[in-house]
Amino acid sequence: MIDKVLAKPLLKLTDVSLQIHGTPILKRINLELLAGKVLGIIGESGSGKSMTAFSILQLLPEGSDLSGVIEFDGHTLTDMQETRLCELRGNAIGMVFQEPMTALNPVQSIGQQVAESIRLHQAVSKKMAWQQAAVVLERVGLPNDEFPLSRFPHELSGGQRQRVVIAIAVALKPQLLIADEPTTALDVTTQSEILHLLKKLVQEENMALIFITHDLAVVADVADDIAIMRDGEVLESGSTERVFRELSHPYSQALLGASLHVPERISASIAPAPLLDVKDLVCEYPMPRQRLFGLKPVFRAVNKISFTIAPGESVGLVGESGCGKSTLSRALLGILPVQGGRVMLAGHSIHTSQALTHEVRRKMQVVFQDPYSSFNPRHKVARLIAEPLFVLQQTPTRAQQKTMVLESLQRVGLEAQDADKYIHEFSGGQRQRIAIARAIINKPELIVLDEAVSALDVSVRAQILDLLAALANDHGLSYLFISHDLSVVRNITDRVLVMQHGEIVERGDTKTVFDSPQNSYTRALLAAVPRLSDSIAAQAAGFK
Amino acid sequence: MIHYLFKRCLILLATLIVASLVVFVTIEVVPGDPASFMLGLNAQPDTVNALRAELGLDQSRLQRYLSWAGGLLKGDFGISYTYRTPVVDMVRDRLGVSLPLAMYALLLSVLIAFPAGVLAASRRGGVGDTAIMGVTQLGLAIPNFWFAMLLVLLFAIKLTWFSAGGFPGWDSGFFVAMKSLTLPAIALALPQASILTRVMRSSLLDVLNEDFMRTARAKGLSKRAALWKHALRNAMIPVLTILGLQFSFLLAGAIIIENVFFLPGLGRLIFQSIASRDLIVVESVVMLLVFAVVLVTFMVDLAYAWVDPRLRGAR
Repeated sequence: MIDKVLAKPLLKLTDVSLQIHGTPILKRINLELLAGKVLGIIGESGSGKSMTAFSILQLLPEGSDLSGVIEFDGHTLTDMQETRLCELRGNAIGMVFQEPMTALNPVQSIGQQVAESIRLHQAVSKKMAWQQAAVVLERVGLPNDEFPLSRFPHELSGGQRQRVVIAIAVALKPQLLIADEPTTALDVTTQSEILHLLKKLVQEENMALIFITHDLAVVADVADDIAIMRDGEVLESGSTERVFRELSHPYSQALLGASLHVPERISASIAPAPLLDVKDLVCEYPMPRQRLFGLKPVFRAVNKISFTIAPGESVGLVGESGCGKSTLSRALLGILPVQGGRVMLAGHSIHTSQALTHEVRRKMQVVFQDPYSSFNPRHKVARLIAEPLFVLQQTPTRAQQKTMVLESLQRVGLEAQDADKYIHEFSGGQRQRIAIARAIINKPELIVLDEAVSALDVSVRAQILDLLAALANDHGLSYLFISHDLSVVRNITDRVLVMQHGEIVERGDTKTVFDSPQNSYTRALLAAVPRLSDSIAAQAAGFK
Repeated sequence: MIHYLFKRCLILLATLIVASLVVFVTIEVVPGDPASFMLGLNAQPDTVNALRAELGLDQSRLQRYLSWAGGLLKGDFGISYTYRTPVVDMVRDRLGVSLPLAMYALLLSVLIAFPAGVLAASRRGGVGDTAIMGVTQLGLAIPNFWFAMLLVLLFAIKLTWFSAGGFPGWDSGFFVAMKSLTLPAIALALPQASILTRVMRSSLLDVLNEDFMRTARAKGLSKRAALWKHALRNAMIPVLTILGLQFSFLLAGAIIIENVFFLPGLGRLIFQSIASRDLIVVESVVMLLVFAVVLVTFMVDLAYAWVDPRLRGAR
């Protein structure tokens, strides 16, 4: 504690405000970070947390107007010349970004990209920089014999690319590392590996770290200090332990509540006849030929999967990216040809070789992950929602359509006048409500939710989960809930299927599977999930 | 990579075979008998038949296709119906004008478009950008034969720096020949450079918005360095596509400019041959152009792979 009083902060933001084209983005931000400490900045989308990071780096979009003072290591960044800033960026301040898939230059090898960073700030020969790059890549967990420097980004997975981005950021051992949602786009196990890596690097090099995230749980056991942001303001800040103990601001409480939210559900009484019956389902993709005239090898994305969903039941399907869960969902919907097995919905078979009957199409609907791109932007909401009505045997009259659209909108908690708006006028959460309204307008029996809440902020996610639970309670809907987010699946499903390499490795009651997982992969998945309650307990224990 | 190359080569061959069939069949169905055309209206039927036999027109279509295609492979393009000279010699002479002209125009277009496109993209919305966009708009809107005439008026008649037309031949020296191609090349390059500048600019702007450009800036690269080192190569794919199309167009599409400057180029040769039903010349020149287009496409494909490593492993 005495250190804290005496030490000069490495980074200090005083009354930092930012406007972009006249729109206020940040409002009088005050933050401090000591050398070697970790600051977690938490906020939902639009809270200004990323812009805070870009303000520190002075890499703001055009039309930005920044006021206030940002001091770093004795320099005032806010009135520093661009050439001096270029010397600091990448050298004294490193940054890791959210989207590892797009953060690397696709036409340069990973070695080139890491070495460039070194050569930019140190007078070393090409060869030396290359050797240093090899050492750094090794340190971030990309051993050179397995991942030679000549690899291109497209030859690496998301987690591996994020390691390369981290290598670029830490190559010169910066005093400050800024990580903007570094694990959000990654699977749980990869997320936990990257978190460990960041923690390790920060400790070994005594770097200060700003960790920006929307996920309280991720940051709780990493950060020394926490700042909670909303609408461009810091609502609450202080040591992690104190912030979690006190949670003085109502928004912080709401945020914590939303993260731990469990929707109220009535468990369905399981009927004997299954609604959806999948038996020995096989889906394969052809892969590029290995040799010039050889047969194309096939990749089996779904390998003999069987399961059922009873009427009114909610089943979770979890697994990491590439495990085949999206392929499976498309095969169930009848939009992907299957190479074996069968899918039956209420006694009707679903197969791409035959046109789906009106009855089957009515009974099954889908909600996709991305609420931004899964709508036609040029149609009004009324038309978007009414779309499934045209698969009915008899298309309802215009007047009927209108009543059904209104009814559907009301059921998802939207207003009647929203029907005449366009999709861009809505927020992400509202768009997902519209997607749900579209899915329920035909009174289906099964809704496939393909990562339906993954792109949403925690508080919005909690609302959508409540909505889904209420709809299921009222109408006896069945859900197939596909997600990589285990905590969500835990709260909203009766049964869960764990998928790995195209196979179901574990299945059972959600509670049983989560409490006593039998399969080693399930155990690894569960262990990788950051648990907020545990972190808080640990924090509290540590400071007693 | 070898796989990629092999596949491109196969596609190249298949395209050529299909193209030769299409060219042959199309010319076959065109009305008008070359033999009677050559002999005029008052020719005796037996004279016409004799000439038909001499030209090989009395053989079956398959035989004629095979002998024509076989000749092409050996470099024997046949004898012109009208001029009674080997088509190869005619084409070679014309190509000696059209090929350098196309390359000259393309070079000018690239030399103008690259800097202009980069400048416009890096100063998006600024004075330079607006000016460049305005000029390219003009360059696209002005008919190039009119622009060619303006060039002649200014540089040939007023300033007398260049001759107003004609081609002295390569025997008169490289620089003399190139000089006579300069005005036509500028006239041809203007619209091409305008298109290329716009493609370059928009492609660069797309890349500048990519996430990896932000990474480059966070590394400590200045705006300009990031553009040169990271954006340019990524922006090249659409530019290469347009370049390939432009070269093919310039090779045969220069007929109007060839007419303005009295240049004995390929475009004029085709035009004249069609007018005089010299089908064997038309067939051969069209095949040659097809070959050029296919070859350029092949080279553009190779350039794609060179620019973008993701395409090297592609199927």
